[in-house]
Amino acid sequence: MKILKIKNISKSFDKLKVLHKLNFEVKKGEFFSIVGPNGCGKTTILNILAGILVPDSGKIILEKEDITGKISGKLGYMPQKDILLPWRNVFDNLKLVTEVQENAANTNSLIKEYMKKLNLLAFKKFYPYQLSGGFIKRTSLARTLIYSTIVGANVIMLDEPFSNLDAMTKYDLKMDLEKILREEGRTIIFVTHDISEAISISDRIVIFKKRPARIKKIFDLREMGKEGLEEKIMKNLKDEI
Amino acid sequence: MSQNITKKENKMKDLSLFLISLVLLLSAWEWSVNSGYLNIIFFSKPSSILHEFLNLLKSGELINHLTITLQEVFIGFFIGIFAGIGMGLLFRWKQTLAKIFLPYIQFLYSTPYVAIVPLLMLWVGIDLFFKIASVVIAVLPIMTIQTYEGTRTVEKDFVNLLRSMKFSNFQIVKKVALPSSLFFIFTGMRLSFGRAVVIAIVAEFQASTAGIGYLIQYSAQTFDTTKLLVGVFIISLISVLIIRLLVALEKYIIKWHPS
Repeated sequence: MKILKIKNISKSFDKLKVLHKLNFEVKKGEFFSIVGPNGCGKTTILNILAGILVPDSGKIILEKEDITGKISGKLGYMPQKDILLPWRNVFDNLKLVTEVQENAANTNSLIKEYMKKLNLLAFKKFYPYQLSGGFIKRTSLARTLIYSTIVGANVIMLDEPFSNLDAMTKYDLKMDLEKILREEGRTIIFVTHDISEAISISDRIVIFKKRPARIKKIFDLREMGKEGLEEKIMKNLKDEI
Repeated sequence: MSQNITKKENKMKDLSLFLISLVLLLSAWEWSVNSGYLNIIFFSKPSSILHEFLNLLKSGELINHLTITLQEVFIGFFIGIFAGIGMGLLFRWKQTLAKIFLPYIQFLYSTPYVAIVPLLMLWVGIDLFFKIASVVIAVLPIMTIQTYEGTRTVEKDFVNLLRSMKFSNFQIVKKVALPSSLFFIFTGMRLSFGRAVVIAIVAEFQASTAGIGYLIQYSAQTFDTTKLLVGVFIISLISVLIIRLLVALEKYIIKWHPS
């Protein structure tokens, strides 16, 4: 079942064409990765989906609702840049997203639940400057998951959630994240430029052409398996760099 | 632990150096006047200033002048702070207002603020309101600009993220922009307190029958340098103490700041 449809989305910044008639669909519960060369418009499409940017043309349908150019608030979003409020400790940073939700009940227990899932309980009272890069990422991720749970967002967008992490931290976080997301049956749109990362975690991978972004190829890992895939994706990407 | 001890030791060292230099300076001053190198009419001397200070304190005259000046300073300072913070946040919240009014605030900030005192006197008279209004004029522009600049430190990406979570502009200002600008607000408060004291004294020079400004002005006219210096030193000392208090308050409130 399709949960999100992106139809003919185009976007330019002044004369720079970033997206050109982009079309793809995301199925419910799948882990959908977007891979492409630097600056090809991966983050732009996420910003359009979040309603932060308005597309020049095209439509976005989320669960049968047209959300084109609107801030629907129905998608969880973890941007590439991890920004926590420096005057709030970990717990209070997570609480921020619950403070403006009118119907949010039992928020403290929800926050504790996600802190436990992401191994943040021991750092509850730590301020951002006291945290390592890995734990800052974990806090950002917990914030996105808590928000998504409260508003009932079925689709979560993650923009390079493992960037700037060392190999071990990246591995740990990836394992924890995959476990949580699969258990909860969330639909994930995952942006990365790390092919092996995308292969290890995804159900489908879409390759973007270089700017202006269009779909070059979609790989369904459930059908074709993972063997030799990295090489195939590399071949597709090579032409775009 | 050892770092704390070293910090304490360094602070004690700094204080000792300051006290030694102060004693040397005061001794040199006293000696110069007693030996006739400096004219007592123009320079007075530390022992006479201390003596005059105690006399003014005992008679209640000093407290009377001080109360009047501090009343003008504090009322004007607090009105200026709250109005300035309010305007800074409003400008952030409604960018169109910033585009219209911020240039005027910047103009007011760049204008030599003591030059406005005679004009204000013409407009509002010479009573307490005039002095408070003068202080507000000195404090408000700096607080508005500091608060507005402070709110600009919030990262655009984060504001966008909050918008995608349906935070309203008001919620963003209240929960993110205001706390973000606290560092700037405290800097503004420290800078504007000095301005507030200066303008209150200048306003009292212009028109008053009481206050530290009046005491200084009257003492100058009667060649009473000792009394004049009591006025100068007491208001300077109080300013330094208030600014120190603001620094301590800043450290307490912005304890999360890595610096």
